[in-house]
Amino acid sequence: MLFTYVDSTRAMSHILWKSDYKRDVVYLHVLSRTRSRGVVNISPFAIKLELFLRINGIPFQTVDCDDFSSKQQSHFVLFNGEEIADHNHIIQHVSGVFCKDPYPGYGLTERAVGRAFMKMLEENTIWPIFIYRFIEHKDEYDSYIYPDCSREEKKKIIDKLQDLFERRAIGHGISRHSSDEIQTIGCEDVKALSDFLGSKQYLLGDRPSVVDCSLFGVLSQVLYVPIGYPMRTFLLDKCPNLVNLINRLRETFWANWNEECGIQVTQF
Amino acid sequence: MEIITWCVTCTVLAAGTVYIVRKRRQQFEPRQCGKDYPADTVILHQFPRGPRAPSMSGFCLKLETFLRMTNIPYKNELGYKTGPKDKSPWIEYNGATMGDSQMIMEYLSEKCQVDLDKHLSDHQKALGRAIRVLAEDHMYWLVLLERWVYHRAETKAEKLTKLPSLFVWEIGRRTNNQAHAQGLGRHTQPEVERLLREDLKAISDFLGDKKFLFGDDACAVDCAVFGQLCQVMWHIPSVVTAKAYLEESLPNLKSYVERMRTAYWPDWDECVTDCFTKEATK
Repeated sequence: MLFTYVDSTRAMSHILWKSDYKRDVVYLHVLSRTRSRGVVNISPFAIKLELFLRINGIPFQTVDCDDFSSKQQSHFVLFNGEEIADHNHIIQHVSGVFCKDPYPGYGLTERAVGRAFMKMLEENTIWPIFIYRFIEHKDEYDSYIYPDCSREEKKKIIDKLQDLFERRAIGHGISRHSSDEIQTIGCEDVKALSDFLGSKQYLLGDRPSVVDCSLFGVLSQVLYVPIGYPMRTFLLDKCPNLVNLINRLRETFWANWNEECGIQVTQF
Repeated sequence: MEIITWCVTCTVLAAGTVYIVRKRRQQFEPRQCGKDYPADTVILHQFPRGPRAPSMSGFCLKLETFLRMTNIPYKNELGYKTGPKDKSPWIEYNGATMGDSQMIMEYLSEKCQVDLDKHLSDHQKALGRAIRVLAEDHMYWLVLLERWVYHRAETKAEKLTKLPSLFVWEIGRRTNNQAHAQGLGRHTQPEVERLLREDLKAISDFLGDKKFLFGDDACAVDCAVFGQLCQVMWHIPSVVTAKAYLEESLPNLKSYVERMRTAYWPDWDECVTDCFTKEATK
């Protein structure tokens, strides 16, 4: 089944636990790798989730899936017979089961800071990216999405994505701003991340935490997809420390990223 | 036949309510500085005064707190008319008309040569931005869901709104749709309640024993966080667990809100309607 876009009125599909699935393995259901180029997944949250599992050594297996969760999101997991939806809930659940700390070695203040930056990335920073690639410059993004589909099928998908994200941007509120203002918001978020990171190894300190996974999920969408995102230009020109962090996360925890992306990632 | 009549009546009433709510939120019409409003005074357009805090909008409260903090002369024009981005608050100032509280604050800081963040490092300003987004783009939606979707009956029963029930229904319907599009509306009610408590705890943990978010002097992000926290303290019904959690389990956060209120809103009682039992005089 081709990609079916999120539609608030669509009934949920019933996901079945398969007989050959093992216990205590996270079955991560995401869009197939073949649906994107440059990044492993067009969803920053699917990438965030998989990076978290990799960093923490949690046993998992990705499952190509065009279907949606009970929260109508394209990433979800099946774990020990149950469906768990939403990346933050999944991380909270599996962290508990496998005794992993999303903020290893960090105190209350750092955890609060991590939460703030994660919400900034996921509720604010991602929107200029969605608007640029799905609404305002979809022709430019064309060759990085659904490369495995025919021209006619891809056009239908891209048109549906445009319609979906236009409606979502209205609900979010960001569409009230001009294009320039929206991209400025994105660049200012990137600057804030760079200023806060400074010379630290990871965003909060010496150890990677869940907020680094969120950062990677969101900013890999611009760093590794070489189209004219203003945020990409800003990132490359002004934020070498962030570029370094993103590359280091990929090299350290996702050694086979290039193979899974469909194109060779240039080291930026 | 009676069922058909009932259905038609409900549909007409609902459509009428939607029309009236949309009509009430009229768009602004450009005015002339020096003729329609005075120069060098910010004309602050915002929603009418709230039941227990000066505004039921955290953004209106944020902007007015900023104006008070910076001593920029301003004059309120209260109503439901929306500004250039179809939002409230919005301002008119020396010929310029602007919407969006954050953009307005940055504009006025430049024009009036004030800088609430001058004592902050780049590192702290970056962190302030993240804390502001936590409050305004995450916690804000959770509060809206509690107030207008999950507990709108209690919101009405506790006189946090004087709008008729059908208006409250329409606001709830819109909020539900917007929150679903934004993403947080896809969570269950218990999940939203938990997320709201977690946001409050995060702000409390970050504040610690500091007077304001970044030390002894308030800065711009304190206006933003204060605006949103006031909604939790005063403008959600008491059935919402986060309200009691803030008041009983986060004493530093409660003290922080009181400190901001005392410092910048000494006339607070004149700016509230006591659940619409009196007119606000300011």
